[in-house]
Amino acid sequence: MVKIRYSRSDGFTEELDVAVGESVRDAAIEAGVTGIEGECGGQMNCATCHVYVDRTWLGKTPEIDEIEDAMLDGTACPREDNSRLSCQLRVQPDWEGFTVHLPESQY
Amino acid sequence: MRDDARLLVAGASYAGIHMAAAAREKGWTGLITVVGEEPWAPYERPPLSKTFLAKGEAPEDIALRGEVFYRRHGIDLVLGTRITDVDHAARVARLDNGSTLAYATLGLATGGTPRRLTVPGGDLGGVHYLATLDDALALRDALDGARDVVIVGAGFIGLELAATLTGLGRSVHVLEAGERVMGRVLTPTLSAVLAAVHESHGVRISTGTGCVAMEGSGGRVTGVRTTTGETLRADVVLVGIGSVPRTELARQAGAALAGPGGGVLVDATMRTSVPGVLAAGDCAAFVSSYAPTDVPLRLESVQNATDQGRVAGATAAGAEAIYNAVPWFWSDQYDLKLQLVGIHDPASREVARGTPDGEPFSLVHLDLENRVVAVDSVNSPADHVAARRLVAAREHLDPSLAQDAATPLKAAVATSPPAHRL
Ligand SMILES: Cc1cc2nc3c(=O)[nH]c(=O)nc-3n(C[C@H](O)[C@H](O)[C@H](O)COP(=O)(O)OP(=O)(O)OC[C@H]3O[C@@H](n4cnc5c(N)ncnc54)[C@H](O)[C@@H]3O)c2cc1C
Repeated sequence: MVKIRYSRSDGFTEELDVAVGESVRDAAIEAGVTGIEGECGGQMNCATCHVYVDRTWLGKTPEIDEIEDAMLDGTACPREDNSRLSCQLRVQPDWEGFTVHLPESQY
Repeated sequence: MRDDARLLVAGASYAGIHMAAAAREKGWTGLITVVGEEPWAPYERPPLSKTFLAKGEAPEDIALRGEVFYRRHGIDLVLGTRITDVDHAARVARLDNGSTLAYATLGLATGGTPRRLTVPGGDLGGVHYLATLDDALALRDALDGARDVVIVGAGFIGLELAATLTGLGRSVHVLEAGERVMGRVLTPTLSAVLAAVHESHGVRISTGTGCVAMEGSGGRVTGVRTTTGETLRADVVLVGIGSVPRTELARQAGAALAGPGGGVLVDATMRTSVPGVLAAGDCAAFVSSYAPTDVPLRLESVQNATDQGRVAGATAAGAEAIYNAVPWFWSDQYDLKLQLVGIHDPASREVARGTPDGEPFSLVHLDLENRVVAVDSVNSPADHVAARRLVAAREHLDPSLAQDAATPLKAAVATSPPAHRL
């Protein structure tokens, strides 16, 4: 298990123990973290699981593929250089303390 | 609002759960009870025809929300239980376990039920429909040891199943009474593209062909007799010929329907014709500002059920909300990602971006004034995402720009606001 932090736009932060390989989106849905949706179930069809990766972690995330890149242009809150779809962030063993900032809205 | 006032939601799927959660988030302080007929905790339906079968996923893998979510929102889930009657004058609902629940506001999120094929032999063992997790589990069992599958109906569910089952090594034959596949939602151009892809994977498709009877032995289906006089061997038959809205409760409450067999009529706040009764999702019929006419229509998509549910919840809580989200839909078949935005207008013309046999490919539908009314994309999420904004803003688009695949559609969006929904 790896500790993942979800920092909401209202300043509230939740910490979850997430299994390696599980997506940051799925873990949030399971634990009832509000602020991440993922209407399509994690298939890169909806762009409602948008997160901003904490800048200290930027070099440690997998590359954005073409589909994710395209879908990130469809997020409700503005896309930044640290924007990701959390369904594509599969937790890695060395992600202890990995932090994502949740956008104000997914709609 | 009295604190023991109850928002009672019928149906524990996308529309019902989002209605309940939004009501709480928007300030409903009373009880919230969601009654769902299915025994499972709310789950994602789209995987049932796709990864749930293809990858053998478990029910837990497709949970819509974790248990904590309901606790945090103060939502009581009553599962495996059906609301059988409502007495709206008394504001009391009766459940099939014999108990009753009093309510202040009733939210209908009852979805639809598959349209039945009423032919001789239609109820033989081995004839399946796919709408629920239990249906998918039953289908999975039936596929064990089955080789020949006949699918009746080339709509989304039929074609997704054709793709999934072909991938699982089954031999698939699709019958479609209409003259082309997915004729209800796609124009002939994309119907042809999809049919060709399916055929290249070995699926046989017979259009203009219906099913007149199922043949069987020992109570199990063995074949399908077609309108062209053939009998096709079948170990399993899957029927996907559309769905009908479930409106029993709406009728009991006195809510107006959009004609016989139509959905529950709602306005943009998701109010029905009866005060204190709301409806959302597959069961609801509404006038869409994205449609070419103001004839009430039903949309069957996760987007529509989710967004309408959220509006209904806000309305229940006394917040201002209007449903004007851009309709969009997806379907995954083989390695094709089909993404649709907007509602087709028969009077619009289509402009192709890219060539149908290459990818990415999109059809941009422009009305007489060159406003973008719909975009159908195949493996082109970039077009899809840009199109959501173009359709939301009814942006004008020069047809020559629309067809220029080298210029991203998003270049035309620069000035359009994002497609905010609520
Ligand atoms: C196999 C399949 C694949 C799909 N794939 C896609 C896809 O790829 N993309 C997409 O956008 N959409 C897809 N859809 C459509 C999408 O799932 C529906 O539009 C969506 O589920 C509608 O949500 P809803 O909440 O309105 O109704 P439903 O999901 O139909 O839920 C209604 C619920 O209400 C319950 N209920 C009804 N009456 C009562 C009662 N009296 N008391 C208690 N409970 C009651 C029912 O048991 C049911 O659980 C698919 C659907 C199916 C079946």
